Amino acid sequence: MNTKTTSDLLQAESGTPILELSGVTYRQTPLSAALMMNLDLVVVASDLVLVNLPRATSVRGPVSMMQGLVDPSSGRVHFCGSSWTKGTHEEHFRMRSRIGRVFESHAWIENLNVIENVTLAAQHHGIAIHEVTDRLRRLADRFGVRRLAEERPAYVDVGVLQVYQWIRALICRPRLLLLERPLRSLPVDLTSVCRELIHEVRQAGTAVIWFTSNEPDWIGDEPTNQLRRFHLAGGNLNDLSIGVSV
Amino acid sequence: MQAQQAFRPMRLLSFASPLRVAEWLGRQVMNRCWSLAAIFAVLWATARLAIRPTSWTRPVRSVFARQLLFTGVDGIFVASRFGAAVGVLMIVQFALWIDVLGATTDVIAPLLWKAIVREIAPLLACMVVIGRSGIAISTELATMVVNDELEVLDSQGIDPMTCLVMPRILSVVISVFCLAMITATSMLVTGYIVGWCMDAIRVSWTTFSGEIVSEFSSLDLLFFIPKTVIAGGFAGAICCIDGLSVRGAMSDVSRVSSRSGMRALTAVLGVSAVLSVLIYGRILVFKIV
Repeated sequence: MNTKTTSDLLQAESGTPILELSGVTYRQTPLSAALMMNLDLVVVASDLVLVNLPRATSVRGPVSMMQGLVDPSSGRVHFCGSSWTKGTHEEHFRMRSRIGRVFESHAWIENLNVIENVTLAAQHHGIAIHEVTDRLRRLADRFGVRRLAEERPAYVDVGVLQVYQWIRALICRPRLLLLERPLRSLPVDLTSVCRELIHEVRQAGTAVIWFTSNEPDWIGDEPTNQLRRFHLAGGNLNDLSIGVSV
Repeated sequence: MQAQQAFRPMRLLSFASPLRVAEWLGRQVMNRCWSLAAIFAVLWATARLAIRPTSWTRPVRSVFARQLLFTGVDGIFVASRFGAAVGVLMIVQFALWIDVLGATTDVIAPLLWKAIVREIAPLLACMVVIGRSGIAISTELATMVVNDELEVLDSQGIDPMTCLVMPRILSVVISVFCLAMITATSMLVTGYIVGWCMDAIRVSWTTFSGEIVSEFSSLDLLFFIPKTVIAGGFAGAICCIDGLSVRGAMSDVSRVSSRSGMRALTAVLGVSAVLSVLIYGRILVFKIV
């Protein structure tokens, strides 16, 4: 008889590497894309990694690299122990279905309405429609969304779209949450909701990587020993908690 | 700029050495071979994905239904109009030739049937689908590429081949097949009405349609199915490949779309010609089988 409780499992899982960057160099066009030079980083379950980077730097390319969508110039990226360079395309798509992402720029399928966009991945990955609706409703309630947007993204306000990006990123209950300046365009009163949600998903074992250019973004209620703070500049990732370059 | 690029090979050819000409020709041949290989690869992947039940998730079914509605159902009136117009042209030509050759009107029905079912209806249906939907498909996919929408799909673990390409190609194939039948019916009905009015056809509709039904043979299916399914598959695959191969800015989208329309039309005519040669076993008047 299995006597392990959920908290036991989570505790055992907490040391599991979710994302591993080994000697990763990322140097791609456009030139504004964040540069990474020979980086090593291990993100484990329930980790919260905060990466501060210059305001003019685009982080979309490096995050796509972490998702295996683009290859790094050199080095290896592993997600849940599997390399993006190995395995079949089907396995890669299955792996990506366990990653939630809030994009820093416009990231919508224009010929679908906002709700279709938000629920697309959940439905495609076989979550029952009533379950998807239930999760959508609960997340929408958390953000105080009274009426779900049935318009296409082009007709919806940027701030509202950012709320839906959060919902889309969380609706599949990801193992890894990649946040590219996630509070940008978001109404200020909703930042506390975002922090609460991050706290909850971390308790469920999700690792979170948060890219930001605005330090106050990451001043939340998290105890400092549960945070890993980095500064990405000149291709180096400086660990702010211990003051060394990794 | 693009016009200059288009003229460049011809200008180079006129001044280049025979070796350079051979190199240029070789490159062109290789490019065509790669294009053909890409089309076959996409068609093969589409067939594999289509028979796998797990591909048919709710969003994929939704894309398929929408595309079928736009390409097939919305194209019915256009296909009927085209069929009616061509039916009139054909019956006028047949009536003229009957007068010249002194043949009886009984000859019209089987001739009309063979010409329509085996050649004209599949070709006309392909033209309708490419004109209405093929160019729209390549424009839509190219716009999605330029707007990084494919990256959004990919990042959520959704395969663009399963979600975007497979349902579109499949609906183009089904639409071409169905519209070809509608076009053929429209041509026959219009042909009969106009022929009856012109006194070129002197039998009743029941007799006329009876003669057509009696003319129907399994060989007609052998012509009709490959000419609609294979040509439709080629048209759909070319439009999808061209749409997804766009690089650069939004201004490139219109160029890619118009090029893909022409390429799809050329391919449909080519496929139709090749199938005719293979099925009839003849090249012009020379028997090859």
